[in-house]
Amino acid sequence: MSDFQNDNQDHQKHAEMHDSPLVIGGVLFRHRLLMGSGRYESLEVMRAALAASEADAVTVAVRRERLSDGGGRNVLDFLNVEQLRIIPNTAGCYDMATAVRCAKMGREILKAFGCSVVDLVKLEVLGDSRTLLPDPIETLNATEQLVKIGFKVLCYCSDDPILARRLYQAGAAAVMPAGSPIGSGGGLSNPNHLRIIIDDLKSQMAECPVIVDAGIRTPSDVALAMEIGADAVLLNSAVAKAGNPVRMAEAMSLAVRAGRKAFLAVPMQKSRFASASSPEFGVITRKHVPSSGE
Amino acid sequence: MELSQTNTLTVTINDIPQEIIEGCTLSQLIEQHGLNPRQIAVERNMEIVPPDDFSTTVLGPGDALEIVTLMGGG
Repeated sequence: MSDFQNDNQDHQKHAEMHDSPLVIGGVLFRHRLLMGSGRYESLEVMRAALAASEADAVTVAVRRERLSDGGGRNVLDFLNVEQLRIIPNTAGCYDMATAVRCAKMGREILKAFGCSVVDLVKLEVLGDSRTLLPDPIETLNATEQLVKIGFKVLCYCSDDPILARRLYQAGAAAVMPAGSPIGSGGGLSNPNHLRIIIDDLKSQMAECPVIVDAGIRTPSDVALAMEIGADAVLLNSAVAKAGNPVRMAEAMSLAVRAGRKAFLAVPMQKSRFASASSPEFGVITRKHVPSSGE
Repeated sequence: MELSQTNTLTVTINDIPQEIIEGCTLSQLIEQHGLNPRQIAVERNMEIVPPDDFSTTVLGPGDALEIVTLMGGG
């Protein structure tokens, strides 16, 4: 019994020892869950959900200041900038030029606010307003531009393995294929493509983090993404639009950890047939049991 | 002209035209709108103005300003 426990603990230590932390563009992250900050019913709920998620990275949008009421309450006042990496996004941009402008202005705000890390950007260049699917060509072009001017680009993209490779080659700090369309809750619509992307970007000379972004609905979506080897998951609506966002944030956090541990533990081989868990000898009958293999 | 003693000029902020007094600086405009300069970024005619230059940037006629901040987003 105690031997078993020791083995188990050794195994856990082993697994944890061999899990290096998530690093994106030289920036270290303590958790493999990245959270969005949009669509919450209030900034207070957002703050509570972020705390429950234990994430240390949060995405934000760059938007025109409201001039009528002095800007009102600012999301920055609800983010612990000492502990959180703030990643401005280029959401709502439909062309390279606008996305680059947006990224630059986001960086400027982080500088003005005194953030220690200011050059991370979640690049999102969309091609269609109904599906919010990314425009792959504009995304690639914008990645090249942003890398040139010193950004660490986290590229939101479709789950196309060739595009993912091209983004990596263009200098993306992380490639972030969508599980399914933004805010759809469709889960991972093509796990096989995600597997190919992960396999491809981990087998090259340098390693590029692959983050599953968008489409997540439940912790099982998150766990699956992590089990197949994603480096992290980025989600927003799944928590913000849950009946209880704070509880869901905690569930997502656990799912990330569970999925990551499962990946490191290496799941058992699958078989079409059964393999008894109990000893096959010493059963209290001698009756012949039929088998489909005979 | 009633406004002849204090000359005014028109700029746009986020595409909205606004009349300002000649000599008005970016700092003054930001303050006028009650904005926190630590939580915004400003483009003047598509070029970013660093915060250190807000107080020395005198706005000219037809200047197009873009003033943005951060909001919740995914």
